[in-house]
Amino acid sequence: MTSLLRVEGLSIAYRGRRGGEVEAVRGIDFTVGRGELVSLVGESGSGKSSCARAVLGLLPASARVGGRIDLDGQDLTGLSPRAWRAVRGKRIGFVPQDPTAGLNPTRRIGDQIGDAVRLHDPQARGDALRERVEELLERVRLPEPARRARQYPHELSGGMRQRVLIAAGLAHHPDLLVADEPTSALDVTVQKTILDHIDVLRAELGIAVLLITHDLGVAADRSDRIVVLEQGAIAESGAPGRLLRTPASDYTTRLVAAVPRVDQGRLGGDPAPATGEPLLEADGLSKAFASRGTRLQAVDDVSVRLHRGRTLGVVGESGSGKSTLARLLARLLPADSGRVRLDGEDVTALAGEPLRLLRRRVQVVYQNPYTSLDPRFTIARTLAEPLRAFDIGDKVSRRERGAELLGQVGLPDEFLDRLPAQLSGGQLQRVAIARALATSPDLVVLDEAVSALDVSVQAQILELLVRLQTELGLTMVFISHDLAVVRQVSDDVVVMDGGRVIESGPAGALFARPQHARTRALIAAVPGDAARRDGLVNAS
Amino acid sequence: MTAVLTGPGYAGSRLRTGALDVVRRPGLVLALVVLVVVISWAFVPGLFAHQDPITGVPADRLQGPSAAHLFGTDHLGRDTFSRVVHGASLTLRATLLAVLVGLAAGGLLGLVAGFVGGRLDAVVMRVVDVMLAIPGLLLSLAVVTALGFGTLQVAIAVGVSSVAAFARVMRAETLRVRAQTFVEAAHSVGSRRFYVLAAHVLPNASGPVLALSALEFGSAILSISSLSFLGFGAQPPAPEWGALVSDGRDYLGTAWWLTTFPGLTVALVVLAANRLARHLEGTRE
Repeated sequence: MTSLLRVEGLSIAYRGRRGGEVEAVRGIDFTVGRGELVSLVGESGSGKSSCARAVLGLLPASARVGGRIDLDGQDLTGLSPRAWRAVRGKRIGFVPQDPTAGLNPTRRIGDQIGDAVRLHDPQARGDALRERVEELLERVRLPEPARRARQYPHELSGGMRQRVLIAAGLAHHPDLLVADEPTSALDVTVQKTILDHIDVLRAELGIAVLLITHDLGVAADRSDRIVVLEQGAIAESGAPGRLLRTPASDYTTRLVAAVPRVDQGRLGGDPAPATGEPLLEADGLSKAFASRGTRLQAVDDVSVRLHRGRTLGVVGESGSGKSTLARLLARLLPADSGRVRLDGEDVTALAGEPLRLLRRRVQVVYQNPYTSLDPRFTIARTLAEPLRAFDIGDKVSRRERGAELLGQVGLPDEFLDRLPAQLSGGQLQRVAIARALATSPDLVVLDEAVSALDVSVQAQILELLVRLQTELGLTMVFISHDLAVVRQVSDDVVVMDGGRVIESGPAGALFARPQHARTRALIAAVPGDAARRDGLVNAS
Repeated sequence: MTAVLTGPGYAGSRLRTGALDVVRRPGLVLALVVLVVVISWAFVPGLFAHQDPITGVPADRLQGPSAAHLFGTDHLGRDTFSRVVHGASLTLRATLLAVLVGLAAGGLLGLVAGFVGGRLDAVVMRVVDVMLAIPGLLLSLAVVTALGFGTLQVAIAVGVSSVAAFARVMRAETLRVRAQTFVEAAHSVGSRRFYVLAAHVLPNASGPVLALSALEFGSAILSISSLSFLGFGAQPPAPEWGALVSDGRDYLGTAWWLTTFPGLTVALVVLAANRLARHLEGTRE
């Protein structure tokens, strides 16, 4: 096969602010053939995004690039910014990660794609341009392209916006499409349709795709070849089947093991039995948000029950009302109707000081650890905050408790005096969990607590949660859009759609025999089919 | 970002970056030099000017700039340079007080309005809107008329007129910080509202307001000098920059140096303070 893109000995180093250099990529080689889909897989910091930027000529000026990048025989390294503009967009299309940040919110969809068209075809204007734009939107299967072209980004869903960006990337029939985590900001079912669609485009147009992802499950389902990156070097590469069955490096083995799977049971041992009085009881909870005359029923008559020492998983896509439910259960939002009972006590109407005292018993872990910790607080101060709020202990004992908590979440003592900026995402989420445990709460509500993390880090956090539950007898409400993740930690599961509970029951039964069509669609959309298939071959 | 050079092939040490910085931004260095000199005037005027600023030598009256009298002398034979140097202390102290009044009062108003929100926010911000609608100097004049004459009164008056600007910036920043997850997280772990405000919101929201206070420093010098020029501030024979310009007005035709040099000093210091403020604003992430 003739290779379209050939990368040889690529190395990228970034100059730090203090004169030092950080090597992000250290001499990697790979090729992408015509019409091939090659995935670059690795954790944050593995250098995969730097590679994508290098191929696109979008590295910042502080980067030093070595090696060679060939596109169809033309050497791209050392091109002037002007020459790059002739390649980018025309021969190499780009699909960015965040469909919201990738579009200008103040301009119509059609105008933005029109810009992409006119970049290399300045003559296009008027009706001809409009036709081109609509044709592109049709190619990415957006219904009613003429109407979409007149809409603004906020009128489209996340999946639609990602299609718009793909359309812009396709404006000039590029030979190669570089997609940097194109679906990691999207729901699983949307992710599936977008990835399916990229497959269709490859078949129809013969476009080669360089897919950057942290999710080996996604890569294994779609790729012709996978390149696994570890700290800027290639750990191994090969066809997905071979890679999954017989991973040659420890790193790949770990990545394979980290792919969450719906067909496996709960991590850890047996849960506490669901007997006696439930710890958390919610009946007929409803909450609506009103904005500019429209009323959105975010949560509609939802009832849940949770016994001590067990985990309730709440799944649903964006907009299904699961985060609002989490906030109602944690009493961070007042409910319009219905009641929440904690340990038999009605806490629905608490306000002021009694509500504050309730926080000691109910704690929350948020989705994004980078924003849920005060950047100016040392870890010790963050961990002491809940203790301070309830006047537990003194300065010395709070610091001791902080060290103890760090130990429980598997972090060393010396982190106490660090600032959040000095920790990685996974470490920060461990700190956030430690903070939630500080007052030994009865109930911990985790709102998408692993969704912002890499798959391998996610697996570690899930294991941590299960271990902590066994050790401390925690009761958890675990909110996630990811069924595979929910499957791994939950005893009981509630599936939400449009603010209502569409299905609920014990996790095992629900995943084995989903009753509702939406639930089945959600389960089918979980990536990692190939990983599952080959993983099972491996196991037998 | 202070001095990240991004030209290709550059890999310098911090020292070289610093040295290059001077070459690349002569304006900033000049501004710093001006401010350091003027502040030293305020603390040790005797080091810079050897002549008495209060009692003059009548024989030397109304002399033009010369080696003996850099800025010339006034109608009582007092050395103008000496009066400018000794006046720095009075002017700068008044400026500092004015900025502090604005920063403290405006910052507090903005912080509370932004954090509490609702009706309190609406009321405070409408009052601020009204204050912003009145020209600053006019407002200072009104306040100083009510408070009476004197440097202290002038400083407070100028401070009051800048409260509105501080309150606006502080409120905007407070709203931004308040919406961040870590603030909700602080509430959710059970922290009291006051603690959240003092420990989380204030430190994270104070950056822009501090940059503004550097900027306000320049305009406060100008306002204080203006009010002194109008006769509200320092009373004779105390040297004060605005008052110096005012005194020289009567001799504008014959002794240009009496107004020009103190006026230039004020202009230079204001420009220097603005340059520094702009730099500080730029370095904040």
